Amino acid sequence: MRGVLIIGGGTAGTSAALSLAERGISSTIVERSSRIGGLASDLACKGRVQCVKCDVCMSTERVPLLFRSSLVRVITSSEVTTVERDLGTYRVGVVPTRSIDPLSCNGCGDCADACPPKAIEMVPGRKSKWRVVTQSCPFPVEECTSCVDVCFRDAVRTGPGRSEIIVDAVIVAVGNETYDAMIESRLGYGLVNGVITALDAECELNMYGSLDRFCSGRPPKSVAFIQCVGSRGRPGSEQCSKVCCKYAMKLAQSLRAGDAGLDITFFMMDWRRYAAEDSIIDLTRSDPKLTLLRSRPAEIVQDENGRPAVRYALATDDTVAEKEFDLVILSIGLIPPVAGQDIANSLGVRLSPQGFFMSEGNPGRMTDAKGLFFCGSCAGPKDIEECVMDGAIAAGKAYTYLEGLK
Amino acid sequence: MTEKSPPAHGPIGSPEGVGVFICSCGGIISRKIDLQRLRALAAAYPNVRDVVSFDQCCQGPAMGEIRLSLMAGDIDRFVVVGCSARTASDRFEQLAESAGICPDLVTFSNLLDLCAAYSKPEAQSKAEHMLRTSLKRSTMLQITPRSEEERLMTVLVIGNGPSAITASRSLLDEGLSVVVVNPTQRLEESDHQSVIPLEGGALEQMTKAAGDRFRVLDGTEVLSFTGHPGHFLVTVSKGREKWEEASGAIIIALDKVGSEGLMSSYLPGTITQEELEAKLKALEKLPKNIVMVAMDEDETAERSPMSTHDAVHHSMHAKGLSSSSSVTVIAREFYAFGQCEVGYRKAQEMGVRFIRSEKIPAVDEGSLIVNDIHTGYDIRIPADMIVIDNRTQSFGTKKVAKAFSLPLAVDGTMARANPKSRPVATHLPGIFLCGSASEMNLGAGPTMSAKAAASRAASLLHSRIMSGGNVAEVDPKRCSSCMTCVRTCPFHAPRIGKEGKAEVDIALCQGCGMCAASCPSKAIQVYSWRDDQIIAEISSVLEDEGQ
Repeated sequence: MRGVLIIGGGTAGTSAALSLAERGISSTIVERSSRIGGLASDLACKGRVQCVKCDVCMSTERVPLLFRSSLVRVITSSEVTTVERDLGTYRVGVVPTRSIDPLSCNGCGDCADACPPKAIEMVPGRKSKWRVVTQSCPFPVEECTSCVDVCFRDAVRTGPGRSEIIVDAVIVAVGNETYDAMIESRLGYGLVNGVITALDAECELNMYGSLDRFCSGRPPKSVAFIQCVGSRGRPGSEQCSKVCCKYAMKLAQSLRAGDAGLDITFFMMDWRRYAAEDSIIDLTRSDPKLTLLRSRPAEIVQDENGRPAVRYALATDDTVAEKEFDLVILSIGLIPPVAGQDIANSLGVRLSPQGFFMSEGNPGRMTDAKGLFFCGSCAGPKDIEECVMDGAIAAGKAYTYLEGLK
Repeated sequence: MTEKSPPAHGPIGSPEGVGVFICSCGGIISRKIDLQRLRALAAAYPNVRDVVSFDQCCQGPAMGEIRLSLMAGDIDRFVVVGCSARTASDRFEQLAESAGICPDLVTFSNLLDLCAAYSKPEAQSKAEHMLRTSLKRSTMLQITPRSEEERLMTVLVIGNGPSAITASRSLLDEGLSVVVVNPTQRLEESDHQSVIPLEGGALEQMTKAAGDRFRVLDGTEVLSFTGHPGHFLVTVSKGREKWEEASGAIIIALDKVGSEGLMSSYLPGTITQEELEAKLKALEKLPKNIVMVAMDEDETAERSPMSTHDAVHHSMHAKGLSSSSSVTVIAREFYAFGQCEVGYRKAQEMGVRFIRSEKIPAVDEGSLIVNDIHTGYDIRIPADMIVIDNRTQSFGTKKVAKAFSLPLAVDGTMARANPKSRPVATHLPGIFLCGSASEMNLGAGPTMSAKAAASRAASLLHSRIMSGGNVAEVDPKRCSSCMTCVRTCPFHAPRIGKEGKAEVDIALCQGCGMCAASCPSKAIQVYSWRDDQIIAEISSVLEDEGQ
């Protein structure tokens, strides 16, 4: 038995690998970035006083288990470039990528200046300030090392050389991307001080435990959450991201636990809760400082005090209201993986009209028969718990497929 | 390991010799801690036979050297100084086993986490403390009881509807046998609440294909259970008849059923979403004004997102079937998770009206009065046909919860286990939870949780089930049979044995230590965490402080 290839080492990929290891099947995880854990490893535990069931630990506490198992091989900083199916086995080409070690990087930007194809960009607010965009870097590591040479802190890492793996089945768990809030300039992200995305807030809470840095060092007194940014909107982000209601509510609970006097306002359309306890309407009953406004803000501008002001309309009257906040958090949605089309082409599968892989229904059955499985948020937006479940399901399917080969 | 474990109450034998393996973890540890000093400290400790330091202990060449040194000397236990047990325990336990050393006698001294938490001078003194305690602990360790459990390749599914069928289908695909204990008279097939509906006749096909691997016991109930993962014995009753079913794992997959509440408050002629679905499939002529009420009568109770989900889909179909009809959907919130949002938008574009309302609409002369939450106005909507979703009542959860001593949520659904544990699990090992009558992940829907529960049950039965390790043991001489441990244990591990004294089933014990802590006679000890072991560890730290 040659085992299973798992593309992507996020929550779903980790879960699939562990589930396969439980059944005694070896697997290889190929992860593009330099660390395992995916998007969930950036997120903060939001239970300050007591557990609010944000599920982040469900992912982060399972990652160390990977290294315990001798059946799981992990290749980080590498990408799958070619997948060939031949007589029931898959021949997979893996090439190293460059990545920037978040611990060593100080954000000087020398690598971005030195890069010939300008494939290094700054990612605001994330752990590592710079990120190598591997799709736009055409050079193999042997041909161009300008980013490696220029970095005096040795933060640019490269993986080992090109290698080939032969496996019996492939599980795709490449996950999703988060919506780039800069696309909608009316929301003022990157233009107005004090407008951040929920992911920025998560990373900040994860590292520093407070959001003071975004409000010029003082704790915020009023916070607004704008729901459905990059969800239920324009083409490319038409789907409901499912998770934003959940994480925004948990973030609000975390901020509330830190400051009992904080004013929290939600701008929302529908409240789509994930579990019975996630009802914001129940929360407003017990929390007088929590306001719900059913309105989608038109724009966010800077007021004369330098604070973000949200302009919105209410259904009850025709006037446009304006309200200032210390901090505006945009609940950004999940969008299909950028690398999805390339992977789909190399695997010979079609994507859904929204750009997600199809794991259910007829297309799902066809790929299952070929030993090709899709799980996690690359097959539609999912939360952490769902990704863990989906990984286990894909592992079960892969097990059944491998038993059939014997 | 063929050695028989000594009792947890007996005296601790003196160790033959301790091996100490110090790891610098690629420089991460040696950057903050002077490993030479640790080496000297370990070498001076009594009973220590061999001290070796490596750059990376867990890598191939170092592992080989450790193995040689374990096999050469008179060493029966060792301490790994560096890694955390969290990431490296399996590796070193396997290594110990291959070198003929009991894996229970491996101790970890977690310097890696210590280096992350402390700065240089502090880290050094803390590391020295830690090494001394680990060495003390290592010399005090005992062999623990371990055994491999047999596995029955059968799963017992308790359910009444689509979740039970979905779970059974996944289990049969994985080559397991399934027994379904169904409290109703017939398994309900149609699954209008799931995102991917089951095809009609799926149950019949499944039964035919599986043969004797698939049995459905209609009209039966679960009374109690005994046993452990791999071998459960569940007492099942049908009327007055009682018998035992053996299975390797248990899945609780109860689904919600209809309640009459909302139905009776409306006019006769109100139909359910299921009945509408049948009409839509048969391409029946639809009346002019269709109103769907996708809400529960109880405002604070469970608001099923799947009901609005169905309403969105059915409204689109109804509008497509008879475009002259006016279709209105009334709900508290409109759920269209994920890519279903596209369908919701399409329904709006087709002219379906969606009204959000907090209150249940009132009936007035063939029309409904709805209070729109955005404007606060009451709107009158003519209604020739009212469609409601009535599948809101938990079914059979109380009896099942009682049989397995599982908690119920406030709305009568089966409560989820601690969120930190893995999804679809209960706190009892080998027993899994799914179905719409459990407090589950609403976004995932019943289909996905049923499949996940099946996958987890299958992976349990496809792997070796080991029991034992750091488990509790009762000293029969001290036990006063007060039953405190029996009542305290959440896993049902202790019971009163034949001689009238408490006994702990090692296959069920999770080593949590609650019984040991609560025993008034101090008759229970947990292997590797005995009182004298813990006291010795603590006093070794205090000795350091005194120096």
